[in-house]
Formats: sequence, C-alpha cells, structure tokens
Amino acid sequence: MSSTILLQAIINGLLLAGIYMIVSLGLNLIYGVMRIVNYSQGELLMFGMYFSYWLFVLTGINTYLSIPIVCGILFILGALLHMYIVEPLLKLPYQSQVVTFVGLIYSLQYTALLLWSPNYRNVIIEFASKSIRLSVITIPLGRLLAALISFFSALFLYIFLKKTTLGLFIRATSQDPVAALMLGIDIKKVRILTFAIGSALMGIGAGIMLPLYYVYPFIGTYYTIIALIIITLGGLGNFLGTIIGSIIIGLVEAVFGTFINVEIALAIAFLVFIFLLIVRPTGILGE
Amino acid sequence: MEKKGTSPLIFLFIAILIASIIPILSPPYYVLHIVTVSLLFAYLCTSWALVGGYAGQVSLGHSAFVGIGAYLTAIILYRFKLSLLLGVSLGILTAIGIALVLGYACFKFGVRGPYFTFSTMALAEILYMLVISRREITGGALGIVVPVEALRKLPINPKIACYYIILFMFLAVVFLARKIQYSKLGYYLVAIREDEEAAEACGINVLKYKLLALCLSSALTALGGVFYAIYYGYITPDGVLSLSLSFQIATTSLVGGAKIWFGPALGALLVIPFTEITRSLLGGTFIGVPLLLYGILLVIVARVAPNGIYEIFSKYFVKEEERG
Repeated sequence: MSSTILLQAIINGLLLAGIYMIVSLGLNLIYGVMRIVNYSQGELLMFGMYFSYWLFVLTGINTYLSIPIVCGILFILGALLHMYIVEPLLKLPYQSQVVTFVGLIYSLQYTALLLWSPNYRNVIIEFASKSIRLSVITIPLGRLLAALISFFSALFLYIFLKKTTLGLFIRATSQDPVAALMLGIDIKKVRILTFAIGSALMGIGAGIMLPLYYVYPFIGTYYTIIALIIITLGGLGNFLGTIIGSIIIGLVEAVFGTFINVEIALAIAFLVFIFLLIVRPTGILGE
Repeated sequence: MEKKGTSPLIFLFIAILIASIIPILSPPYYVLHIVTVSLLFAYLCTSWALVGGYAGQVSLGHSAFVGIGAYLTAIILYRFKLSLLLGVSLGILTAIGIALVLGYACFKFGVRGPYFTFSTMALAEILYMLVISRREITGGALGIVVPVEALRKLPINPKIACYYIILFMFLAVVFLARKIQYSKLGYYLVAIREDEEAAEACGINVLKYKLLALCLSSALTALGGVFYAIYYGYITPDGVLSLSLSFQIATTSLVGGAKIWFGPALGALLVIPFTEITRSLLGGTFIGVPLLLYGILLVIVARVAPNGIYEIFSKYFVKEEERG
C-alpha cells in the first residue's frame, strides 16, 4: 500500500520538477552569462501568466497554443528591461543590483495589482483536468503535458546553446566575456539576447502552469526562491545541474509532502539547501 | 577642520524635540500611527545596516529575526501566560543563537555575496513554513493575538506609551550605529566590506567581526519584532515573516544609505510616511500605487545614487569622516 503511495509521490515529484525546471533555466541562463541574480524572474512568470490568461479570455486561444505569442511578448519585454535597466547595473556593486531588482519586483507586482486586481484567476482546460490511470497510479494530463513541454523546451534550448553560432556566442560570453569581446563577439548584444531568452522561457512556464495554478499578482516570489535554490544546488550557471536540481527539489517536495506535509517538506528542502551551500557552495555538478 | 555645513546631529536633536512633543499635541490616532510605524522601520533599517551596510553582507531574510522576536513573545504571552520580559529575552537569545549558527556556517566556509543572501532568504522561508505548519502553537496562517496586560495597566494611553518606547529604541539604535561607525569595530567592518582578503591579510579576524555584526543586528531586529507584536497586538506569518518585509527593510536601508549611521533612518523616515499617507489617501483600487512608485524610486535611486540618497543631502552636512 505505502509503496504505491511512494510511487505516486515520485511520479508527482518528477512532474513538478518539469514546472520548476523551466523557471530555473531562465534564471540560470541569465546568471551564467551576466553573473547577475535576477530576483524579479518570478514576476516575469507572473506577467506571462496574465498575458496567457487574457489571451484565453479575450480570444479563446488555448494556453498551450498561445505559448509562442506570450514568449514573443516576454522576449521583447526582457530585451527592453535589459537595455534600460539591467545593462547599466552590471558595473554597479551587488547592493545596487539588489535594490534595483527588488524595485522591479515591486513595480511589476503593483502594476499587475492595478491592472488586474488581487483576484485569483485561473483557466479551465477540459483535457488538462483529466487524468490517466495506469493500474494503481494516476497521472494528471495537465501535469504530464507541462512536464513534457518543459522537457522538450529544455532539450531545444540545450541544442540551441550547443549547436548554433548564437548559442556558441552565448557560451563564450558566459565562460570569459573579455576573451569573447576580443574574438569579435558583440557581448552587449549577446547579453540582451540572453536576458530576452531568459524572460521568454517564462512564457513557456506561464502557458503550462496556468491550467494548473491560480494566478495573482504575488505568485512570483515563491517561484524565484525555488528557482534560486535549484540553480544553486546544480551549480550556478550549470545547465545540466539545473535539471538535476529541479528533479531533487520536485521529489523532496512531493515525497515529504505526501508523507508529512508540504510546509515541512519545503522547510526540509530549504534546510538541505543551506547545508549544501555551506559544504559544497559550487553545487552538485560545479567544479 | 573648518565646518562646511551643519552636522546631521543638530537636525537629529531638532527632530527629537519635535518627536517627543507630538503626543502632547494630541494628534489624530492615525498621525501617531504613521509616526510610530516610521520610527519602527527606521529602527529596523538601522539594525539591518549594521550587517548589510557596515559589513556589506546583504541579508534578504531579516524578517526571520522580526518573526522570532514577535512569535516568541506572542507564544509566551498567549499560550503560556508568562511574563513579557521572558518573551523579550527568549526572543533576543533565540535570534542570537540562530544568527550564530547560520553566520558561523556561512562565514566560516566562505558563503558570501549572493550566496549569503540566498541562505538568509532560505532561513526566513524555513521559519515561515514552520509557523504555518505548527498551527496548534503558532495559530498557522491566521496568526495569533498578543495580549499585553502590562501595557493596559499603564496610566497613559497604550498607543502613546508605544510611541515613546519606539522613539527611545530608535534613538538608542541610531546612537549605537554612530558609536560603532567611528569605533575600531566600525573601521574593521568597512575594511571587510571593501576587501575581505585584504582585511584578513591585515590581521583582522574577519569571521569574528562579521559574526559580531550579524548577531548584533539580529538581536536588535528581534527586539524590533517584539515591539511589532506588542504594538499591533496581532501577528500573522505574512506580516512578520514574509519576504516582502525583508525586502522592505533591506531596500529602505540601502536607499537611505546603509554605509552611514543616519542613512537608514533617513530612508525610512522619507519612504514610510510617503507610502503610508498615499495608501490611506488613495485607498480602494489604487492601493498599490504607493508601492509601485516605491519600486520605481528604488530603480532610479540605485542608478543615480548607488550609495543612497544621503549623498544628495550630504553636501549640506559636515563630512564626519574628515573630523578624524
């Protein structure tokens, strides 16, 4: 009996990991290239969810199908944010970066509050709320689809980074900006592109999360923290590490959440995180 | 050294004079409330600056210490019906204990910069989750009442009593911050903030002084939490343990100027009355406008005055550093 519950918890954890993965990859990409922690990543996700919500309400486009549109909007928003706010920050001390990103958090949260009120909103998609039964375990279709889309986006991003010239530029800038500059790479443009892609990934997160969760103006900070933990676990800037990190956190949350409760599960995850920061600050896969 | 302007101390004395007679003028309750909350934030921000500004270790989890002070007081008073003094001392001791453990672990093993920030955020989140899940002790997400019998027995209005208490706490912490800034400890912390390796090479015990700054800051913050609990009489995890409280303490402090003793107080006394007053004036649908403006202000200040808005005012003041 308890082994089926455990199996179910593991499945739930893996599916949850898919959602965490996409948010963390965006944060990680930005950190990898610019060595800057975008504390307002979750707020971009929140904006993406609202865009996705309004597209659904106003035009009836399914949130999964509207992912490219929302990604496009967030891509432009990210590029603008980078050019006018983030780029000048790169030369400033860490304290000023924190102030700016917290400023961005407040600006985005309260803009959303003004525009869309504090009400919890969600989108009901018929097939996403169904689930399939495999003998003793249940797999919710919405979560399965979310995990699959997230996984294939990660794969696509990985191929983009490894196989294309632009991806090569991004990796080069991430490894050594000065050398990249000397080799003729326009690192300013690479940074804009990176921040824009990091933001656009939140569009994918938004599309897969909206059928599963409610959206409200203050949903973002929680995902930022989870993502920070995940990318630190995997090693800041490390792509594969982020994927492993999200699986660990997803499993911890689902398994301990099933057997104790979700709050204690998260408290344990945070405690493990502090412990890992201390004994292995470079993360599981870091050098 | 010739005086180039007026010392900030003179402004402070005038401010104290005005502040101490406010309750005598019997202002509307809500004016007194705004001044009290502003002073509480000025107190919390100055406490934060001891570690975040002086030592340069940016914590985005100071609500953890506010929460420890507030919740331990509330639990001691409400669940166990014991004395306030016990709550205060237990709150402060627990805060110091937790700061020692976290600080020692982080500083000993070179967790700094963003990594230190993450670990403080995680600490606050752990406490938040624990408070939410231990409903039978903490009241869970709904919060807990803080019955303060001692305050009701006083001959004066409890709100006025609270006002004088926080005024005293604020003045004490500002003078302490000033004292530390121009002491050996203060100079050690600046050296550590600017270059840890160089400080270590000069023979400064970096671990010891960073820990000292963190413990001092968290103990003072926990005391602020105790005041919060007593003043509001009711606390919730979203009020005292939320990340948004941590953000507000840290950014208000940095906006004012966390590297100088009067900076955080300046920031809090400018920002908090503004947000509180606009919030009550606008109300309704526009309740978010003050914080939206605050967010924009943060983005601008970080760019034009990275050391804080005190820089803009500082040309009117004597450069205290030059006095030697």
